[in-house]
Amino acid sequence: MSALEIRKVNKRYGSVHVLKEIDLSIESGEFLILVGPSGCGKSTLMNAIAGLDEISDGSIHIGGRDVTHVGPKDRDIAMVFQSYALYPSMNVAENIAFGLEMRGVDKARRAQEVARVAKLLQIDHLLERKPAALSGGQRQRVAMGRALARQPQIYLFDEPLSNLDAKLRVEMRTEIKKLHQRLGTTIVYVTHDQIEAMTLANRIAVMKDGVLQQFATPQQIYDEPVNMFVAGFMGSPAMNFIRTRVVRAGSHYGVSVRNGAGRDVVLPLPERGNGLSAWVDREVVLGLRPEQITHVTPHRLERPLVTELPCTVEVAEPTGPDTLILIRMNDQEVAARIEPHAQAPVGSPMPLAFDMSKAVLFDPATQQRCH
Amino acid sequence: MSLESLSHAPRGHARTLIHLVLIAWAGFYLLPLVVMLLTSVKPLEEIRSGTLLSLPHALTFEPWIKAWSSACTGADCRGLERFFVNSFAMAIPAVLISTAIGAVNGYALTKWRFKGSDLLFGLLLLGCFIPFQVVLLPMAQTLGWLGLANTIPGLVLVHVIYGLAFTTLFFRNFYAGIPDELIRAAQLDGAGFFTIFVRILLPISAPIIVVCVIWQFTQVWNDFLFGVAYSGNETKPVTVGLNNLVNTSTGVKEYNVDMAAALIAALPTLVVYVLAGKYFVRGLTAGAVKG
Ligand SMILES: Nc1ncnc2c1ncn2[C@@H]1O[C@H](COP(=O)(O)OP(=O)(O)OP(=O)(O)O)[C@@H](O)[C@H]1O
Ligand SMILES: [Mg+2]
Repeated sequence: MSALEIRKVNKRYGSVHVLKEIDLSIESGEFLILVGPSGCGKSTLMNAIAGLDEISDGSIHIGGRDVTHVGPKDRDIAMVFQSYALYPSMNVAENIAFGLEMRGVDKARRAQEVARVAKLLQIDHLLERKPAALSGGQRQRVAMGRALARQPQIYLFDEPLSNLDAKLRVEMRTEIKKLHQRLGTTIVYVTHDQIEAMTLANRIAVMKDGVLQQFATPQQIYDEPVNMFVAGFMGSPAMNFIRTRVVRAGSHYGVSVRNGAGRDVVLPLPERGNGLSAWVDREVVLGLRPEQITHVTPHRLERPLVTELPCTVEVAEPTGPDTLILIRMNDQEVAARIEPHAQAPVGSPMPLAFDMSKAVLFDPATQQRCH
Repeated sequence: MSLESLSHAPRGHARTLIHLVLIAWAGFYLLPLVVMLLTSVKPLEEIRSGTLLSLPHALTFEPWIKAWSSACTGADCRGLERFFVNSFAMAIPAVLISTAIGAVNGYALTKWRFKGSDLLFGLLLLGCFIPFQVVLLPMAQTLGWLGLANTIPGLVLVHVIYGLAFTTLFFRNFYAGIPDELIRAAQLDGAGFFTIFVRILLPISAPIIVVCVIWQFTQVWNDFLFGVAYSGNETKPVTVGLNNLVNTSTGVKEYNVDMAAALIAALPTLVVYVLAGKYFVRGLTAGAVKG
């Protein structure tokens, strides 16, 4: 039975259509991540799930029960807000216990729960403090504790880590992952951070302008994006989009590219069982992630679909573990990811291995994936 | 001379100048109060012979006692005391009720938006600008219908209604600065309309409550027009009592008693400002509650 099912949900604010026909369903214990650019409707969808905003049409089911017209407190949901929303006049313990108190849990049980949660999140020493006297990371944990004190069917986290510095963010990300593994609860989680999305999610829902673009596992989203938006949105540095043409090369297909030296080369395309014949000689957008273009090593060239091409390093951006270099293909800038020691000096030629096994093609008119 | 002292010298002078101007200005404003105080503790002969600002030779509190307990308004010589008591009986409930309703209004208008809530607020705001005179007659009629004419509860009602526009405005602006997510979090925690108000919002509303109470108390206490229009013989507030006392012309004009009476009538608002004035300024500038 699905823990959460969203069926054809629409939300309009007057003439503004914020959510358009959203269809989603996750199983119990899954970690769903909502991503998308600012203003695409993520928070609106969260509020709709929580029952804080009425939806215009469609229905929402939690644990098999239709909750479309059920008030927020009866939906069996706990939410962590982007701004934490801790009650300023209550100390940490009271903040955590408030939800239990409202649900009529007696005092002894409340104290027990507060102690359990505080220990889990390592905030035992802060229980007497007011929110104003806490650091960002501590507030974040209290906000989480407030949700964890109850054991609802679904947790909603709306960008819970966005206010934290980079280091704390990574720490808390690991904490949340551990917590999910330990508690095995269903979580819906909004983030702007794609590393967060990739590391935490069982499934990712990518949204844009109120439309659900793709709903799949992180690896599927990464390797098999349905359109250019998803391909460009997920992954950092972003996927290269190279305008090119499909050509027939014997019994196979390939795309023709011209490197800086002005030589036309055909890069082979993987066989995917869909007829590419209709695309021959037509313009397409080749999607190739930077890590699929890398420095040449002998064993790499042995793999099928890997081609060596002479290129010229135009810009180099070392990131530490690897270096991002920009080259030019079909008169467009293309990023490649190489090991730092292999980099040729800027301005000089350098051969690169193009691994086409994960290459994807997009229709330039519709931006939809076509291969 | 170093660059630093160069840049500081004019600033030092400017500051002194500003201070001098401010002190002079404050003195100018305080002068009437000083004259009143001095006059109220002088015997009558001294007032007639001396100047306004001369210190009293024979200090006397007789005028204060007389103003409080035996000065005459018309033929009735019971002093200001009963008016003073009336004013409290009117101001305290009026302030508390209008503040309480204003708080709930402000809360509902910001955190439980409904269709037309902005329009309602706009209309309420308009209420701030209605001149007293406009409501004078209709209100008298209403009070008559309600059987509250010439009573203290009637005066309380008038002040509550008139004050609501202001108290609602205060609380609305204050609560507008408080993040909605706080209310949403409480809703998910299972709290309802009044629980959220009492448990989450009221505990952080102290600054605006102080502002509201001071404002309303000053308004209600100092009001003359409603007092004179809607009170009966035994229910006149102190402003009306003071007016009648000063205007009663039997025999000699007792300036010292008049001054003492005026000071007594002004005392409560002065006390409120001295005690809570700093919270007033703080509350007016209080912004959103973070965390
Ligand atoms: N009350 C409202 N009236 C009209 N439009 C609204 C209202 N609330 C939200 N919107 C619009 O709905 C869209 C989605 O908003 P939402 O807050 O869901 O975005 P989001 O994806 O959470 O963005 P962010 O990543 O910046 O938090 C925005 O374009 C916003 O302007
Ligand atoms: Mg948002």
